[in-house]
Amino acid sequence: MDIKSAQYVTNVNDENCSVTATIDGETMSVPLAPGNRHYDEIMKQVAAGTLTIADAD
Amino acid sequence: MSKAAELAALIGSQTALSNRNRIINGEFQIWQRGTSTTSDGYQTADRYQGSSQNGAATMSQQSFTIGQTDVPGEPKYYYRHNQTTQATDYMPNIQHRIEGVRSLAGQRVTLSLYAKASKSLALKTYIFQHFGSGGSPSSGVVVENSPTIATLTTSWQKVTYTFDVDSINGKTIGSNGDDYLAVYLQFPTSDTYNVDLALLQLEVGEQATPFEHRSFGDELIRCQRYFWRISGYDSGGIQYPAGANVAFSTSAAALTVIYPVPMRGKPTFTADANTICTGVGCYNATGQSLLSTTVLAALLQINTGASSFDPEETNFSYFMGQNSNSFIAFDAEL
Repeated sequence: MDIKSAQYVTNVNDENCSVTATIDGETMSVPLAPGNRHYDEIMKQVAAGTLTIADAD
Repeated sequence: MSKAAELAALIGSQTALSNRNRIINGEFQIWQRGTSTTSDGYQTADRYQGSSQNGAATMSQQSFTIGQTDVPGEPKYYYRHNQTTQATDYMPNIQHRIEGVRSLAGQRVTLSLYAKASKSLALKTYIFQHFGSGGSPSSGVVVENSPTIATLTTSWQKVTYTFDVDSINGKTIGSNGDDYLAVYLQFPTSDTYNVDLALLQLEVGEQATPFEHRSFGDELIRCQRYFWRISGYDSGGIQYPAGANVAFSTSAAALTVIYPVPMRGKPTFTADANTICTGVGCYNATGQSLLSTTVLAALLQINTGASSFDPEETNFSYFMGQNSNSFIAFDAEL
């Protein structure tokens, strides 16, 4: 997957609750859920040092 | 095959008369994402991933002529893989992942399908057990390593192939619920061609029984466990209802979407920029993101970028398409 512009989204308690990212050209909202193929790929690329998830605004 | 022979085959296969086919959308009835693509991955027919490897291909929906008899049962569609640029690394393919590596483990099974091609070519299959992620799952097991299961011609033919799925005795399955049995159909490298596929079935036993037709509604529900999408525009009509929206500022609100069926896992949410989320008034969404999700429903945050919401009010909400490109989608594919 081609993943760009990953950024955490926070809830009203200021906790990270999802990652918004451009995946294969589409903006997607990805849950922080191991077993979700998009989340797994994001974390794989983060672990490989090829992707960084920005903090929430 | 006579009716008596069909019955004998069913009895001999020691399998059920219904729910025999472990392939979802084997008849290629459901195309929620689209009907043609040049991109790899989950793009066209539900539950299938296409790949051109390092070449290029168009994967598309094709329609059967009404009344044709080459492929039985009057199916409406078939799947075409048109390899337009040769692949030189790996075999172009179509892949279907069956949820749960326990599926068919330790059993003799039969794969069947109808297929033809634009020229004589070898059709191969690759079967793989994936034990998932989380914890310390076992390494994947190659069940079938690309044997040729048919030489296709320009005429439709029924292809059958019987093989044994490995036992999973002694194996460890990951804790994240993403284990599966993968079924690939592989096409040649270093060539260009069309391959057409229809009526794909994988069942327990040594006999290929007649294709198990399921209704459009039954098949759609099965597909929606992994992906569902509402798209299009209906002259301002409601496309999909959501729950009450609760504003937590004048420009942001939360709303709940209930899925049509429980999903395999927590899904990814996607919405086209042309999709409007509305309350009592019409609020153009500038951002939509997951606040929380389960396998049953999602809580979404809707940002309008303007003072659209009254925090004192709770409004009924729905998604409405702004044009034909509008959609919302939830994806929990394997």
